Amino acid sequence: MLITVDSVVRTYIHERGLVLHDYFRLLTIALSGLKDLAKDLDINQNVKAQEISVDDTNSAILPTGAIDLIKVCVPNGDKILPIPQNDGINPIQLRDDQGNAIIRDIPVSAWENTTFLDIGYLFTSRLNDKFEHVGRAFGDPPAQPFGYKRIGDRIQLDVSARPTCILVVYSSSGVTSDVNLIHPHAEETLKLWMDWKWKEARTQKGIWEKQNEKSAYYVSKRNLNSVINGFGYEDYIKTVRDHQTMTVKI
Amino acid sequence: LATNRNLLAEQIQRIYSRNIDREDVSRLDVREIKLLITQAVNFLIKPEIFQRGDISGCILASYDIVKQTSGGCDYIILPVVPVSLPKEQGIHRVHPQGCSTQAYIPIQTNDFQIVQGTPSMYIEGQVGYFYEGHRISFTKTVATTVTVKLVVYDPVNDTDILPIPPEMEAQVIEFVLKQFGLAQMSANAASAKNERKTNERQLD
Repeated sequence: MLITVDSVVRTYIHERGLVLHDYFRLLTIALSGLKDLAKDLDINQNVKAQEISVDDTNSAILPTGAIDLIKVCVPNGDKILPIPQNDGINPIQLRDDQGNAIIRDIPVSAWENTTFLDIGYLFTSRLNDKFEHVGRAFGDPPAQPFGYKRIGDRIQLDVSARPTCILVVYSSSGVTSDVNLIHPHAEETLKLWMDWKWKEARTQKGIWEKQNEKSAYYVSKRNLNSVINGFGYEDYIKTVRDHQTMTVKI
Repeated sequence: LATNRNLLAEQIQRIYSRNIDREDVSRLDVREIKLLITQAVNFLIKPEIFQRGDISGCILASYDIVKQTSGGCDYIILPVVPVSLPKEQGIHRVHPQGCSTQAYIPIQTNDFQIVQGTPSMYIEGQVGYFYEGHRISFTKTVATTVTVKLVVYDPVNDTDILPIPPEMEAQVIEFVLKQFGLAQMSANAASAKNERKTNERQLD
């Protein structure tokens, strides 16, 4: 069961003999610590899934706090149909005269308007004006017509399909606008981060003291990593196999 | 015996008349003394807090204030200005009436503006407040009546117990006597001086 960042900050205040008037600044520090920990540890279940609606331009806005996309799918009852990533989607938003975003027409393949003679053999004999071979052209027409492309905080879907909503699985910054939660084992590490940052902001603290706080945090973070991401059987097998090499028998 | 403002005023009058000015006690207006006691307590609270390192519960004054709303923002007007302390600790605690465990989160002036657009501005779903002038503004809607505990001595009756530790009473008396012309002289020194005068008279 996860614990709240609020409880961590309050415990920290009590332990260190601070006052409630320090709460707000400590909360800011704690939330930045949460982001730092969430970068490489799943301390607050920061891999999230959410359904988002698709607008008229066949694009959807990513949820707040989304950092990396893990999967984009179309929900279909209790199943999901994954959508492949397609970098061939035009990233430029098409707009009408009033500046409103509009959808593109279903694209016509560039190859469809060309003749067999122009291009020679479609995939194997593309020649330039010097009749030099320029290699095969991949991706048009695509093998998988439906796809998505992430453009900033927007997901643009291929216009050949028009779902009303999509499901995105993403890794978040770990910080939400509601109550933030954290793995109980990460509490002490977060407090050490707060120690470091709280003292770092105070000029009367010596540089060695600040350095010690920083070291203590990273040591604690490594320990936390070993607790949360324990070395399991699969890791053992992988390590062993990675280090086995073929030998020549004579 | 717990000291109140009346008792302390009477004691100051006695010291004054016995040791300082036997002939003209009428110079000493008791209303003036009571006001000075209030000011002395508020003056001495601050060094006392710095010396202790925290705020003693006995110097807190509690007020129940009905909230007002302006532009969708809830606020209350403080009846008195609290003692000026770092981090606005003069406002010791603010909470809904009858729910002292649900204290609102203090935010220093300007901090809330600085953190706009960051996760801190949501204060983990809690209510924050910041203090400007006589006014405490809240970040969210709050209960109709709010209890505020301030670091200030604001006596309602003269018979109320003085909200200071007993060891501070002597300092309050000294502070008041200084205002009545004993610039550098403590009550003891005045007593000694008075005794010397009496001896001189006897010799004459």
